Amino acid sequence: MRDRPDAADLLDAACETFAEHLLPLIPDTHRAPAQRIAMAMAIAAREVRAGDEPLRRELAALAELYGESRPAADTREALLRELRRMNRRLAADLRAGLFDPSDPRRDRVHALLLSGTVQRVRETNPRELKARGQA
Amino acid sequence: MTERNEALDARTRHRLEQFIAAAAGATHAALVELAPTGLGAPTDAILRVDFRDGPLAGAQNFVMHSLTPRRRDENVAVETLTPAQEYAVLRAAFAAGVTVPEPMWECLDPAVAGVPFFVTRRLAGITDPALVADPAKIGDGRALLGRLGEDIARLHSIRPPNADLDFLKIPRSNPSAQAIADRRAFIDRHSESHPVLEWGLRWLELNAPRNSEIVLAHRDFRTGHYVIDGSGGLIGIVGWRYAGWGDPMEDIGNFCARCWRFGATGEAGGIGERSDFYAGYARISGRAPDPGVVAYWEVAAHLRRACMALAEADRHLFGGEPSLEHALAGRLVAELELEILTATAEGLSHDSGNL
Repeated sequence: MRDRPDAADLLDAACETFAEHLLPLIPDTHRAPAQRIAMAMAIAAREVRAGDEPLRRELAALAELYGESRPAADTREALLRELRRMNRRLAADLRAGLFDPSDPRRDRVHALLLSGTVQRVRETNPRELKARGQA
Repeated sequence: MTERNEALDARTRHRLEQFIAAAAGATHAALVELAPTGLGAPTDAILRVDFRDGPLAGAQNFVMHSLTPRRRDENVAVETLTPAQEYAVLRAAFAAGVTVPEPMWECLDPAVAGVPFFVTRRLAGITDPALVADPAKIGDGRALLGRLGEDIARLHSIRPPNADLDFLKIPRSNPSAQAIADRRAFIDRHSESHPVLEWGLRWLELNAPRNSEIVLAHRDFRTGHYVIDGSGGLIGIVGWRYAGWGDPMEDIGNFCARCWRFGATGEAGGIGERSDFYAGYARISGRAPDPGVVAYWEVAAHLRRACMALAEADRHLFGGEPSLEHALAGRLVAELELEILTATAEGLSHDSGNL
Protein backbone atom coordinates (compact mmCIF):
# COMPACT_ATOMS: atom_id res chain seq x y z
CA MET A 1 0.00 0.00 0.00
CA ARG A 2 1.40 3.38 -1.01
CA ASP A 3 1.00 6.52 1.02
CA ARG A 4 -1.31 9.29 -0.13
CA PRO A 5 -1.67 11.57 -2.01
CA ASP A 6 -1.58 9.29 -5.05
CA ALA A 7 0.15 9.91 -8.40
CA ALA A 8 -2.80 11.79 -9.94
CA ASP A 9 -3.14 14.05 -6.87
CA LEU A 10 0.57 14.83 -6.93
CA LEU A 11 0.50 15.67 -10.62
CA ASP A 12 -2.59 17.87 -10.12
CA ALA A 13 -0.87 19.76 -7.33
CA ALA A 14 2.30 20.13 -9.42
CA CYS A 15 0.27 21.43 -12.40
CA GLU A 16 -1.56 23.93 -10.25
CA THR A 17 1.60 25.26 -8.63
CA PHE A 18 3.35 25.49 -11.97
CA ALA A 19 0.46 27.28 -13.70
CA GLU A 20 -0.28 29.68 -10.87
CA HIS A 21 3.13 30.54 -9.50
CA LEU A 22 5.73 29.86 -12.20
CA LEU A 23 4.14 30.26 -15.63
CA PRO A 24 3.35 33.98 -15.14
CA LEU A 25 7.02 34.63 -14.32
CA ILE A 26 8.40 32.92 -17.41
CA PRO A 27 9.47 35.36 -20.15
CA ASP A 28 7.80 35.20 -23.57
CA THR A 29 10.95 33.68 -25.09
CA HIS A 30 10.49 30.54 -22.98
CA ARG A 31 6.74 30.47 -22.71
CA ALA A 32 6.14 27.79 -25.38
CA PRO A 33 8.24 25.06 -23.71
CA ALA A 34 6.79 26.03 -20.31
CA GLN A 35 3.27 25.64 -21.64
CA ARG A 36 4.22 22.27 -23.08
CA ILE A 37 5.42 21.12 -19.66
CA ALA A 38 2.11 22.19 -18.13
CA MET A 39 0.20 20.42 -20.90
CA ALA A 40 2.17 17.18 -20.57
CA MET A 41 1.66 17.09 -16.79
CA ALA A 42 -2.05 17.76 -17.14
CA ILE A 43 -2.47 14.97 -19.71
CA ALA A 44 -0.54 12.56 -17.50
CA ALA A 45 -2.68 13.48 -14.47
CA ARG A 46 -5.94 12.89 -16.34
CA GLU A 47 -4.65 9.62 -17.79
CA VAL A 48 -3.50 8.29 -14.41
CA ARG A 49 -6.86 9.24 -12.89
CA ALA A 50 -8.83 7.51 -15.67
CA GLY A 51 -6.75 4.34 -15.22
CA ASP A 52 -7.36 1.26 -17.38
CA GLU A 53 -11.14 1.42 -17.25
CA PRO A 54 -11.51 3.18 -20.65
CA LEU A 55 -9.25 0.54 -22.24
CA ARG A 56 -11.36 -2.27 -20.76
CA ARG A 57 -14.54 -0.63 -22.07
CA GLU A 58 -12.97 -0.32 -25.53
CA LEU A 59 -11.97 -3.99 -25.51
CA ALA A 60 -15.45 -5.05 -24.40
CA ALA A 61 -17.03 -3.02 -27.25
CA LEU A 62 -14.64 -4.56 -29.79
CA ALA A 63 -15.34 -8.09 -28.50
CA GLU A 64 -19.06 -7.44 -28.75
CA LEU A 65 -18.76 -6.14 -32.32
CA TYR A 66 -16.97 -9.30 -33.39
CA GLY A 67 -19.10 -11.65 -31.27
CA GLU A 68 -16.11 -12.81 -29.28
CA SER A 69 -16.47 -13.89 -25.70
CA ARG A 70 -14.90 -11.39 -23.35
CA PRO A 71 -11.15 -11.85 -23.93
CA ALA A 72 -8.94 -12.76 -21.00
CA ALA A 73 -7.15 -9.54 -19.98
CA ASP A 74 -6.21 -10.04 -16.35
CA THR A 75 -2.96 -8.15 -16.55
CA ARG A 76 -2.20 -4.80 -18.18
CA GLU A 77 0.05 -6.51 -20.72
CA ALA A 78 -2.74 -8.90 -21.69
CA LEU A 79 -5.19 -6.02 -21.95
CA LEU A 80 -2.89 -4.06 -24.28
CA ARG A 81 -2.11 -7.18 -26.32
CA GLU A 82 -5.79 -7.94 -26.84
CA LEU A 83 -6.57 -4.33 -27.70
CA ARG A 84 -3.78 -4.30 -30.29
CA ARG A 85 -5.00 -7.55 -31.80
CA MET A 86 -8.60 -6.41 -32.10
CA ASN A 87 -7.78 -2.91 -33.32
CA ARG A 88 -5.57 -4.42 -36.01
CA ARG A 89 -8.50 -6.55 -37.11
CA LEU A 90 -10.87 -3.57 -37.11
CA ALA A 91 -8.39 -1.43 -39.05
CA ALA A 92 -7.94 -4.14 -41.70
CA ASP A 93 -11.70 -4.69 -41.96
CA LEU A 94 -12.34 -0.97 -42.39
CA ARG A 95 -9.77 -0.76 -45.17
CA ALA A 96 -11.27 -3.83 -46.87
CA GLY A 97 -14.66 -2.10 -46.93
CA LEU A 98 -16.34 -4.50 -44.49
CA PHE A 99 -18.16 -1.65 -42.73
CA ASP A 100 -19.07 0.37 -45.81
CA PRO A 101 -22.44 2.21 -45.86
CA SER A 102 -24.30 -0.95 -46.90
CA ASP A 103 -23.24 -2.84 -43.77
CA PRO A 104 -25.74 -2.77 -40.88
CA ARG A 105 -22.90 -2.66 -38.34
CA ARG A 106 -21.58 0.65 -39.69
CA ASP A 107 -23.42 2.74 -37.06
CA ARG A 108 -22.08 0.56 -34.30
CA VAL A 109 -18.51 0.80 -35.58
CA HIS A 110 -18.72 4.58 -35.78
CA ALA A 111 -20.18 4.77 -32.26
CA LEU A 112 -17.41 2.52 -30.95
CA LEU A 113 -14.67 4.60 -32.59
CA LEU A 114 -16.29 7.85 -31.47
CA SER A 115 -16.64 6.76 -27.86
CA GLY A 116 -12.99 5.69 -27.65
CA THR A 117 -11.84 8.89 -29.35
CA VAL A 118 -13.93 11.16 -27.12
CA GLN A 119 -12.37 9.43 -24.12
CA ARG A 120 -8.87 10.06 -25.48
CA VAL A 121 -9.65 13.72 -26.12
CA ARG A 122 -11.11 13.95 -22.60
CA GLU A 123 -7.63 13.02 -21.41
CA THR A 124 -5.57 15.04 -23.90
CA ASN A 125 -7.60 18.22 -24.41
CA PRO A 126 -10.91 18.47 -22.53
CA ARG A 127 -11.27 22.08 -23.71
CA GLU A 128 -11.76 20.79 -27.25
CA LEU A 129 -14.75 18.74 -26.09
CA LYS A 130 -16.15 21.80 -24.34
CA ALA A 131 -15.73 23.86 -27.53
CA ARG A 132 -17.69 21.17 -29.37
CA GLY A 133 -20.42 21.11 -26.71
CA GLN A 134 -19.43 17.65 -25.49
CA ALA A 135 -17.73 18.38 -22.17
CA MET B 1 27.36 29.94 -44.99
CA THR B 2 28.65 29.90 -41.46
CA GLU B 3 27.40 27.65 -38.73
CA ARG B 4 25.48 29.20 -35.88
CA ASN B 5 27.67 31.44 -33.73
CA GLU B 6 30.68 30.91 -35.91
CA ALA B 7 32.28 34.16 -36.97
CA LEU B 8 32.54 34.76 -40.69
CA ASP B 9 36.17 34.68 -41.78
CA ALA B 10 37.43 37.61 -43.84
CA ARG B 11 37.95 35.59 -47.04
CA THR B 12 34.45 34.12 -47.01
CA ARG B 13 33.04 37.57 -46.32
CA HIS B 14 34.93 38.98 -49.30
CA ARG B 15 33.83 36.18 -51.65
CA LEU B 16 30.22 36.56 -50.53
CA GLU B 17 30.31 40.33 -50.97
CA GLN B 18 31.74 39.94 -54.46
CA PHE B 19 29.14 37.37 -55.46
CA ILE B 20 26.26 39.48 -54.16
CA ALA B 21 27.54 42.69 -55.72
CA ALA B 22 27.89 41.00 -59.13
CA ALA B 23 24.49 39.32 -58.85
CA ALA B 24 22.82 42.60 -57.89
CA GLY B 25 24.61 44.73 -60.47
CA ALA B 26 26.44 46.85 -57.90
CA THR B 27 30.10 47.86 -57.82
CA HIS B 28 30.33 47.05 -54.13
CA ALA B 29 28.25 45.24 -51.51
CA ALA B 30 29.09 45.41 -47.79
CA LEU B 31 27.92 42.53 -45.64
CA VAL B 32 26.40 44.09 -42.53
CA GLU B 33 25.02 41.01 -40.83
CA LEU B 34 24.89 37.25 -41.30
CA ALA B 35 23.12 35.54 -38.41
CA PRO B 36 20.77 32.57 -37.88
CA THR B 37 17.10 33.50 -38.29
CA GLY B 38 15.93 31.08 -35.64
CA LEU B 39 12.96 30.40 -37.96
CA GLY B 40 12.42 28.03 -40.86
CA ALA B 41 15.30 25.66 -41.61
CA PRO B 42 18.07 25.70 -38.95
CA THR B 43 20.58 26.77 -41.61
CA ASP B 44 18.54 29.81 -42.72
CA ALA B 45 20.43 33.03 -42.03
CA ILE B 46 19.54 36.70 -42.03
CA LEU B 47 21.66 38.53 -44.58
CA ARG B 48 21.87 42.32 -44.40
CA VAL B 49 23.74 44.00 -47.20
CA ASP B 50 24.57 47.61 -48.00
CA PHE B 51 24.87 48.17 -51.75
CA ARG B 52 26.96 51.13 -52.89
CA ASP B 53 24.98 51.54 -56.13
CA GLY B 54 22.96 49.61 -58.70
CA PRO B 55 19.23 48.88 -58.72
CA LEU B 56 19.28 47.85 -55.05
CA ALA B 57 21.45 50.75 -53.79
CA GLY B 58 21.30 51.15 -50.03
CA ALA B 59 20.57 48.73 -47.19
CA GLN B 60 18.67 45.54 -48.04
CA ASN B 61 17.47 42.59 -45.97
CA PHE B 62 17.57 39.05 -47.27
CA VAL B 63 17.46 35.46 -46.04
CA MET B 64 20.20 33.08 -47.12
CA HIS B 65 19.05 29.45 -47.46
CA SER B 66 21.46 26.53 -47.72
CA LEU B 67 20.97 24.39 -50.82
CA THR B 68 22.40 21.34 -49.07
CA PRO B 69 19.67 18.69 -49.09
CA ARG B 70 18.06 18.22 -45.68
CA ARG B 71 18.73 14.99 -43.81
CA ARG B 72 16.37 12.36 -45.20
CA ASP B 73 14.06 10.92 -42.63
CA GLU B 74 13.01 7.37 -43.44
CA ASN B 75 9.78 7.79 -41.57
CA VAL B 76 8.29 10.89 -43.19
CA ALA B 77 4.53 11.04 -43.52
CA VAL B 78 4.75 13.46 -46.44
CA GLU B 79 7.65 13.92 -48.87
CA THR B 80 9.38 17.29 -48.85
CA LEU B 81 11.18 19.21 -51.59
CA THR B 82 14.92 19.70 -51.56
CA PRO B 83 15.96 23.34 -51.04
CA ALA B 84 16.88 23.60 -54.74
CA GLN B 85 13.42 22.38 -55.72
CA GLU B 86 11.87 24.78 -53.23
CA TYR B 87 13.74 27.64 -54.88
CA ALA B 88 12.39 26.59 -58.31
CA VAL B 89 8.83 26.49 -56.92
CA LEU B 90 9.30 29.89 -55.31
CA ARG B 91 10.47 31.36 -58.63
CA ALA B 92 7.49 29.87 -60.47
CA ALA B 93 5.08 31.21 -57.82
CA PHE B 94 6.71 34.66 -57.91
CA ALA B 95 6.51 34.74 -61.71
CA ALA B 96 2.79 33.87 -61.50
CA GLY B 97 2.20 36.90 -59.27
CA VAL B 98 1.91 35.09 -55.94
CA THR B 99 3.05 37.22 -52.98
CA VAL B 100 6.17 35.37 -51.80
CA PRO B 101 9.58 36.34 -50.43
CA GLU B 102 11.17 37.43 -53.72
CA PRO B 103 13.70 34.85 -54.94
CA MET B 104 16.88 36.84 -55.65
CA TRP B 105 19.92 34.75 -56.55
CA GLU B 106 21.19 31.22 -56.49
CA CYS B 107 24.85 30.30 -55.95
CA LEU B 108 25.71 26.71 -56.82
CA ASP B 109 29.45 27.15 -56.25
CA PRO B 110 30.28 25.87 -52.75
CA ALA B 111 33.59 27.76 -52.86
CA VAL B 112 31.78 31.07 -52.27
CA ALA B 113 30.25 30.45 -48.85
CA GLY B 114 31.12 26.86 -47.96
CA VAL B 115 27.82 25.47 -49.24
CA PRO B 116 25.63 26.25 -52.25
CA PHE B 117 22.82 28.63 -51.32
CA PHE B 118 19.97 30.76 -52.54
CA VAL B 119 18.84 34.17 -51.37
CA THR B 120 15.33 35.56 -50.94
CA ARG B 121 14.13 38.90 -49.67
CA ARG B 122 13.46 38.94 -45.96
CA LEU B 123 9.88 39.64 -44.96
CA ALA B 124 9.60 41.56 -41.73
CA GLY B 125 6.18 40.83 -40.31
CA ILE B 126 4.01 38.50 -38.28
CA THR B 127 3.36 34.79 -38.83
CA ASP B 128 2.42 33.63 -35.32
CA PRO B 129 -1.19 32.40 -35.60
CA ALA B 130 -1.98 33.74 -32.12
CA LEU B 131 -1.03 37.25 -33.31
CA VAL B 132 -2.31 37.00 -36.88
CA ALA B 133 -5.90 36.56 -35.67
CA ASP B 134 -5.71 39.75 -33.61
CA PRO B 135 -8.62 42.01 -34.67
CA ALA B 136 -6.46 45.03 -33.80
CA LYS B 137 -4.30 44.09 -36.78
CA ILE B 138 -6.61 42.48 -39.29
CA GLY B 139 -9.98 44.03 -38.37
CA ASP B 140 -12.66 41.58 -39.47
CA GLY B 141 -10.09 39.74 -41.61
CA ARG B 142 -12.12 40.27 -44.80
CA ALA B 143 -9.44 42.09 -46.80
CA LEU B 144 -6.71 39.65 -45.77
CA LEU B 145 -8.85 36.62 -46.65
CA GLY B 146 -9.67 38.15 -50.04
CA ARG B 147 -5.97 38.65 -50.76
CA LEU B 148 -5.11 35.11 -49.65
CA GLY B 149 -7.86 33.72 -51.89
CA GLU B 150 -6.56 35.73 -54.84
CA ASP B 151 -2.98 34.65 -54.26
CA ILE B 152 -3.67 30.95 -53.97
CA ALA B 153 -5.72 31.17 -57.17
CA ARG B 154 -2.68 32.73 -58.90
CA LEU B 155 -0.59 29.79 -57.75
CA HIS B 156 -3.20 27.40 -59.12
CA SER B 157 -2.87 28.99 -62.55
CA ILE B 158 0.44 27.09 -62.87
CA ARG B 159 -0.26 23.74 -64.49
CA PRO B 160 1.81 20.84 -65.82
CA PRO B 161 3.75 20.39 -67.97
CA ASN B 162 6.24 22.99 -66.78
CA ALA B 163 9.89 22.58 -67.73
CA ASP B 164 11.11 24.47 -64.64
CA LEU B 165 9.16 22.13 -62.36
CA ASP B 166 9.80 18.81 -64.11
CA PHE B 167 11.12 17.30 -60.86
CA LEU B 168 7.61 17.35 -59.36
CA LYS B 169 5.82 14.02 -59.59
CA ILE B 170 2.48 14.04 -61.38
CA PRO B 171 -0.04 11.99 -59.35
CA ARG B 172 -0.37 8.50 -60.79
CA SER B 173 -4.14 8.53 -60.64
CA ASN B 174 -6.20 11.44 -59.36
CA PRO B 175 -4.87 13.53 -56.46
CA SER B 176 -7.28 12.10 -53.88
CA ALA B 177 -6.36 8.49 -54.75
CA GLN B 178 -2.70 9.49 -54.46
CA ALA B 179 -3.32 11.07 -51.04
CA ILE B 180 -5.11 7.93 -49.82
CA ALA B 181 -2.31 5.68 -51.11
CA ASP B 182 0.35 7.88 -49.47
CA ARG B 183 -1.43 7.89 -46.09
CA ARG B 184 -1.95 4.11 -46.17
CA ALA B 185 1.68 3.51 -47.08
CA PHE B 186 2.71 5.58 -44.07
CA ILE B 187 0.30 3.81 -41.70
CA ASP B 188 1.56 0.43 -42.92
CA ARG B 189 5.08 1.39 -41.87
CA HIS B 190 3.80 2.44 -38.45
CA SER B 191 4.00 0.14 -35.47
CA GLU B 192 0.37 0.56 -34.35
CA SER B 193 -2.90 0.19 -36.24
CA HIS B 194 -5.20 3.19 -36.47
CA PRO B 195 -8.84 2.24 -37.00
CA VAL B 196 -10.11 5.85 -37.00
CA LEU B 197 -7.62 6.83 -39.70
CA GLU B 198 -8.69 3.75 -41.68
CA TRP B 199 -12.32 4.83 -41.26
CA GLY B 200 -11.42 8.26 -42.62
CA LEU B 201 -9.34 6.93 -45.52
CA ARG B 202 -12.12 4.57 -46.58
CA TRP B 203 -14.52 7.52 -46.44
CA LEU B 204 -12.16 9.50 -48.68
CA GLU B 205 -12.06 6.55 -51.07
CA LEU B 206 -15.85 6.25 -51.26
CA ASN B 207 -16.49 9.99 -51.52
CA ALA B 208 -13.71 11.09 -53.89
CA PRO B 209 -14.60 14.04 -56.13
CA ARG B 210 -15.30 12.87 -59.67
CA ASN B 211 -13.42 15.49 -61.63
CA SER B 212 -10.08 16.63 -60.45
CA GLU B 213 -7.70 19.12 -61.95
CA ILE B 214 -3.95 19.11 -61.49
CA VAL B 215 -2.34 22.43 -60.58
CA LEU B 216 0.65 23.61 -58.60
CA ALA B 217 -0.58 23.39 -55.00
CA HIS B 218 1.18 24.76 -51.93
CA ARG B 219 0.03 21.76 -49.85
CA ASP B 220 0.69 23.37 -46.50
CA PHE B 221 -1.34 26.53 -47.05
CA ARG B 222 -2.66 27.70 -43.68
CA THR B 223 -2.55 30.38 -41.05
CA GLY B 224 1.04 30.37 -39.76
CA HIS B 225 2.38 30.10 -43.31
CA TYR B 226 1.81 33.65 -44.44
CA VAL B 227 3.34 36.87 -43.21
CA ILE B 228 1.34 40.02 -42.53
CA ASP B 229 2.48 43.55 -41.78
CA GLY B 230 1.41 45.59 -38.76
CA SER B 231 -1.84 46.65 -40.40
CA GLY B 232 -2.88 43.18 -41.56
CA GLY B 233 -1.67 43.45 -45.16
CA LEU B 234 -0.34 40.29 -46.80
CA ILE B 235 3.39 40.47 -47.44
CA GLY B 236 4.17 36.88 -48.33
CA ILE B 237 3.18 33.23 -48.36
CA VAL B 238 5.86 30.97 -46.89
CA GLY B 239 6.38 27.28 -45.99
CA TRP B 240 6.76 25.89 -49.53
CA ARG B 241 8.57 22.64 -48.77
CA TYR B 242 5.53 20.40 -49.46
CA ALA B 243 4.48 22.06 -52.74
CA GLY B 244 3.57 19.80 -55.63
CA TRP B 245 1.09 18.97 -58.36
CA GLY B 246 -2.27 18.43 -56.75
CA ASP B 247 -5.95 19.27 -56.60
CA PRO B 248 -6.51 23.02 -56.16
CA MET B 249 -9.19 22.36 -53.58
CA GLU B 250 -6.63 20.61 -51.37
CA ASP B 251 -5.19 24.05 -50.57
CA ILE B 252 -8.65 25.56 -49.96
CA GLY B 253 -9.64 22.63 -47.71
CA ASN B 254 -6.38 22.74 -45.79
CA PHE B 255 -6.74 26.47 -45.18
CA CYS B 256 -10.27 26.05 -43.81
CA ALA B 257 -9.68 22.79 -41.88
CA ARG B 258 -10.62 22.97 -38.21
CA CYS B 259 -7.14 21.80 -37.18
CA TRP B 260 -5.63 24.98 -38.65
CA ARG B 261 -7.99 27.45 -36.99
CA PHE B 262 -5.98 27.52 -33.76
CA GLY B 263 -9.08 27.39 -31.59
CA ALA B 264 -10.57 30.51 -33.22
CA THR B 265 -14.09 30.52 -34.66
CA GLY B 266 -13.47 31.92 -38.17
CA GLU B 267 -13.82 28.94 -40.50
CA ALA B 268 -11.31 30.38 -42.97
CA GLY B 269 -7.97 29.89 -41.21
CA GLY B 270 -9.37 31.01 -37.86
CA ILE B 271 -9.48 34.60 -39.09
CA GLY B 272 -12.86 35.08 -40.75
CA GLU B 273 -15.62 33.88 -43.04
CA ARG B 274 -15.15 31.39 -45.85
CA SER B 275 -17.16 33.62 -48.19
CA ASP B 276 -14.46 36.33 -48.24
CA PHE B 277 -11.75 33.77 -48.93
CA TYR B 278 -13.80 32.03 -51.63
CA ALA B 279 -14.70 35.37 -53.25
CA GLY B 280 -11.01 36.29 -53.52
CA TYR B 281 -10.32 32.90 -55.10
CA ALA B 282 -13.16 33.38 -57.60
CA ARG B 283 -11.97 36.87 -58.58
CA ILE B 284 -8.76 35.43 -60.02
CA SER B 285 -9.70 31.88 -61.01
CA GLY B 286 -13.15 32.73 -62.34
CA ARG B 287 -14.68 29.95 -60.26
CA ALA B 288 -15.97 29.76 -56.70
CA PRO B 289 -14.78 26.72 -54.73
CA ASP B 290 -17.41 23.95 -54.44
CA PRO B 291 -18.20 23.67 -50.69
CA GLY B 292 -18.71 19.90 -50.93
CA VAL B 293 -15.29 19.37 -52.50
CA VAL B 294 -13.67 21.72 -49.97
CA ALA B 295 -15.27 19.71 -47.14
CA TYR B 296 -13.78 16.55 -48.65
CA TRP B 297 -10.29 18.05 -48.62
CA GLU B 298 -10.81 19.24 -45.04
CA VAL B 299 -11.23 15.60 -43.98
CA ALA B 300 -8.12 14.78 -46.04
CA ALA B 301 -6.25 17.62 -44.27
CA HIS B 302 -6.96 16.07 -40.87
CA LEU B 303 -5.78 12.67 -42.05
CA ARG B 304 -2.62 14.21 -43.43
CA ARG B 305 -1.94 16.13 -40.26
CA ALA B 306 -2.64 13.06 -38.10
CA CYS B 307 -0.02 11.09 -40.05
CA MET B 308 2.45 13.95 -39.72
CA ALA B 309 1.79 14.07 -35.95
CA LEU B 310 2.40 10.30 -35.69
CA ALA B 311 5.68 10.70 -37.60
CA GLU B 312 6.69 13.53 -35.28
CA ALA B 313 5.93 11.47 -32.18
CA ASP B 314 8.00 8.63 -33.66
CA ARG B 315 10.98 10.96 -33.81
CA HIS B 316 10.65 11.28 -30.04
CA LEU B 317 9.95 7.60 -29.42
CA PHE B 318 12.29 5.88 -31.86
CA GLY B 319 14.08 8.48 -33.95
CA GLY B 320 16.74 9.57 -31.49
CA GLU B 321 15.26 13.07 -31.25
CA PRO B 322 13.60 13.09 -27.82
CA SER B 323 11.70 16.32 -27.27
CA LEU B 324 8.55 17.29 -25.44
CA GLU B 325 7.29 19.08 -28.54
CA HIS B 326 7.57 15.91 -30.65
CA ALA B 327 6.12 13.82 -27.81
CA LEU B 328 3.02 16.01 -27.50
CA ALA B 329 2.39 15.76 -31.25
CA GLY B 330 1.47 12.13 -30.58
CA ARG B 331 -1.29 13.30 -28.28
CA LEU B 332 -2.70 15.67 -30.88
CA VAL B 333 -3.87 12.70 -32.93
CA ALA B 334 -6.97 12.12 -30.75
CA GLU B 335 -8.56 15.49 -31.53
CA LEU B 336 -7.71 15.19 -35.22
CA GLU B 337 -9.43 11.82 -35.22
CA LEU B 338 -12.42 13.32 -33.42
CA GLU B 339 -12.84 15.80 -36.27
CA ILE B 340 -12.50 13.02 -38.86
CA LEU B 341 -15.26 10.99 -37.17
CA THR B 342 -17.49 14.04 -36.78
CA ALA B 343 -17.07 15.22 -40.37
CA THR B 344 -17.82 11.77 -41.78
CA ALA B 345 -20.87 10.96 -39.61
CA GLU B 346 -23.44 11.99 -42.21
CA GLY B 347 -26.01 9.28 -42.84
CA LEU B 348 -25.42 7.53 -39.54
CA SER B 349 -28.39 7.16 -37.26
CA HIS B 350 -26.66 6.99 -33.90
CA ASP B 351 -26.31 10.18 -31.97
CA SER B 352 -22.82 11.63 -32.30
CA GLY B 353 -23.81 14.50 -30.05
CA ASN B 354 -23.10 18.09 -30.92
CA LEU B 355 -19.51 17.35 -31.77
